[in-house]
Amino acid sequence: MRIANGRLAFADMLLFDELSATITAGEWTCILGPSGVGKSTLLRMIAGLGESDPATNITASDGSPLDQRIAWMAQQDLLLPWLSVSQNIALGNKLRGQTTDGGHVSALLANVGLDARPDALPATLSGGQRQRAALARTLMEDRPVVLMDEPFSAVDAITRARLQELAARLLRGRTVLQVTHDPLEALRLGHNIHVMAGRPAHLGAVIRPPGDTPRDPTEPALRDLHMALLAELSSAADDGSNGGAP
Amino acid sequence: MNSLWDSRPIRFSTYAAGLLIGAVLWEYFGGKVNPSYGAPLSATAKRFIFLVSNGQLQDAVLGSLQLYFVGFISAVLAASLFGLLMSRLNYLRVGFENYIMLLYATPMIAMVPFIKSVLEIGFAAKFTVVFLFGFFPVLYNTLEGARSVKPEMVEVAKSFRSGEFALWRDLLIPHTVPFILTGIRQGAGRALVGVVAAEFLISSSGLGGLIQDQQGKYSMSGVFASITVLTAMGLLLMWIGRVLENRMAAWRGLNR
Repeated sequence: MRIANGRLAFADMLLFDELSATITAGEWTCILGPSGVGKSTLLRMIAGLGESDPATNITASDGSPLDQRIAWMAQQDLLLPWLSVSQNIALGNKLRGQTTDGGHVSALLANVGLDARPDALPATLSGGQRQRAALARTLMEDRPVVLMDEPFSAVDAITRARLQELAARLLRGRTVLQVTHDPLEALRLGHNIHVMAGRPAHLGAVIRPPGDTPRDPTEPALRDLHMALLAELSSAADDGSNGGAP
Repeated sequence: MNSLWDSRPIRFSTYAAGLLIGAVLWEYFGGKVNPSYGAPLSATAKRFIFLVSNGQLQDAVLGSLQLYFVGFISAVLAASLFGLLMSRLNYLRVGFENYIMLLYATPMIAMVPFIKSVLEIGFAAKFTVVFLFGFFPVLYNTLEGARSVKPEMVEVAKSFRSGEFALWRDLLIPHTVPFILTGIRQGAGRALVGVVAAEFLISSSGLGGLIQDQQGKYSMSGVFASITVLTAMGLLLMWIGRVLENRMAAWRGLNR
């Protein structure tokens, strides 16, 4: 998947311009950057949500259109509060007027460890359980490309680690593009990491941490990378604050 | 303190004592005043039985209920549909927003003479009064509800390639139903005020007409009997509204 000449401006503030990246198919790519740099906006542009500039060109290497092949997962679970967990998982089919294979829903519920509570309403679940239901809903869509906007940032550390492991296992083989502000999360999950920084923002060169995912971020090799990423992010944050000053 | 109120018998007997004291006071002071100013509870009860036995009260209740339900149900349907449409069509919302605020702030009773001059004294005029009393609380709450749908929710639906119809059926309407029900609960009481206002001010009929009729006969007990029936109707309608709200919007309570 290639992004060429990505461009977005709000009023007189240019968020990014001539931004390009190549996202490798079948791998997990993380875009890491400070808050407000435009990571989520870029992701939403790829998902075809919200505003986009006509100059922006997002293409898949096989030439066919992307919009039918993308699943989207956000920071909040965005489950519909009046539907049960299993109805939420089947929501995409319902919206498109397609029938849902109950066996498939059950299998997904079992995969995310919610098979005991298919009829529970989201409000009766913990934050981690809700996010697992959202993950199952994303998987139900069965799309080759999965875009994730800080999907694990609203839960506590232990739950986050478990969700990361689960997602890494269940999304293996798909093209995942995840936005995060947490370098450890990027090191744990990403085959490829890009730092997004500056104003207008640009994407840094790809970093490919060694080993299979989900990685243990306490490994010495990753520790050095973590330090390097932190240094890059903090200098980016300084640039951002200078650039943003009136 | 809490443990005392946890006991059902104590709560119940306190309720009962409160009601009993009220009844005794009504009986005592109602009997002291000139009968053209007031009536004791016993006389009111006697008059109630008389009005039931000659069929006057039932006719009045039926007339008021008919006006109430035709007017209010139309108001609920029109207001919820219009509110949902306004939430999706920006030009409709921007164009009408000011008028809605103006009319919501206007005491509807001030419109009654105008409605009477235009529509005269038939059912249409009374219907219009009840409709207007009930319409704005439902519309206002529907708009609030439909506007409170998170844009991210709509985006999720869009990312699932939902069409506009499915978006309404599966997201906008279910999300807005609890707000519509809040509007119904608020509008239910107002529409009852509208019924009595129409029956007083447009042309005498129903319970409002019965109150005027009994007052004309200097029967305060008859006036009180009619008011008591209106109170009971108000309580019943509020209770129905609350039951509907609890039953159809249980998820909203969970989410608070």
